[in-house]
Amino acid sequence: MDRGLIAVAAGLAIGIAAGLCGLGIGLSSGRAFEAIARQPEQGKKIQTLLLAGIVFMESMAIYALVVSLLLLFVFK
Amino acid sequence: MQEIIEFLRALGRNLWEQARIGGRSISDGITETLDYGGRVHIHIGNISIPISDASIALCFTTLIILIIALVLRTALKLSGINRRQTILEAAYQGLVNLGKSFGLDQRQAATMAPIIASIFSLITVSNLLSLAKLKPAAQNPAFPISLALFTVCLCIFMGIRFVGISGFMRSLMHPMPALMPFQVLDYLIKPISLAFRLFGNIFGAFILIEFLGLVLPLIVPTVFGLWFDLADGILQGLIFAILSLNYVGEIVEKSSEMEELAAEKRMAKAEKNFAIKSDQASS
Repeated sequence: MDRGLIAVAAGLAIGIAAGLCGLGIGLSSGRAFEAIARQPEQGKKIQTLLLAGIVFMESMAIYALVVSLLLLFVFK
Repeated sequence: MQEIIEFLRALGRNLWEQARIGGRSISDGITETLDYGGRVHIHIGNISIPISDASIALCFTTLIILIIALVLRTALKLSGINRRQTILEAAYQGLVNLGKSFGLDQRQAATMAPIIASIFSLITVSNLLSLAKLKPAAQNPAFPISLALFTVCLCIFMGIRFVGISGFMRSLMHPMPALMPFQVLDYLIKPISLAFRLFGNIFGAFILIEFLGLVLPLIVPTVFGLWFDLADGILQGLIFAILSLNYVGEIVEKSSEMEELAAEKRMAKAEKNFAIKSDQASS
């Protein structure tokens, strides 16, 4: 296959995924900050939920990273 | 014996290459990682079975877990307990409470606790091997994929053991019986998601640290390794274990919800019949 096209596909995959993942994490963190500001005594619970949510969003970007690595290192 | 000497020699060579400044190229390092085994072979008759690096890493992992468990197992008493035992009991209680928050009751959570703890310790200790510059088992995609398949089958099996096969079928029809294909699809996606979350995090962290190793061989990777290897490794093990507990709790919770729904319908129908019958009797 064409190496140039593979490189473009790999770059596009991880670029779009990382951008949207950053958007999602930023939005959810913003809401979490607001929630903690409104109710400081629930801070620990909200922080735990936020971290759990961030790990799931991050794993979406990691799936795209795996696809990108697959493209780069498996196709000649 | 020959294989052990070979392995130790390869290990020494590997560790020496990590410490050299310059002279290593990125693609070499990465393609070497993708070469998953064949350094050591087991010869049975005239069949030669290649042993992958992940298997060796898993042997180390189980050895370490065994030693830690045996050390912690001694000095457990029924009264007059010391601080170590208090921490262990608090951890166990935290695990059982987590199971309860996912919908299990006390007995089911106590059954699931050792299983979840073993999965967690296997993955975490295996990831932490990368702190010692050994190759963690999750870099070979076979280990996460097989572990995820095994874990999902285990979750389904434990779910069936808790609520029976009829309960499991009821949990598949959870919001509405027409949405059953989506629940089945969910069960097909679960192993893939678990496996590639673990594999992607660990392998991606390794590649990132390889890139950083070009800057300054020992200092910069070690500093970044504190986040990627340590925190990411522990976090990924935690997420894997918590998610598997969640899957079992889901089966129990959905099945009990559907059972309540069916019981409500039966009650409503019985009341309607009773109302009709009392109407007929009075008129």
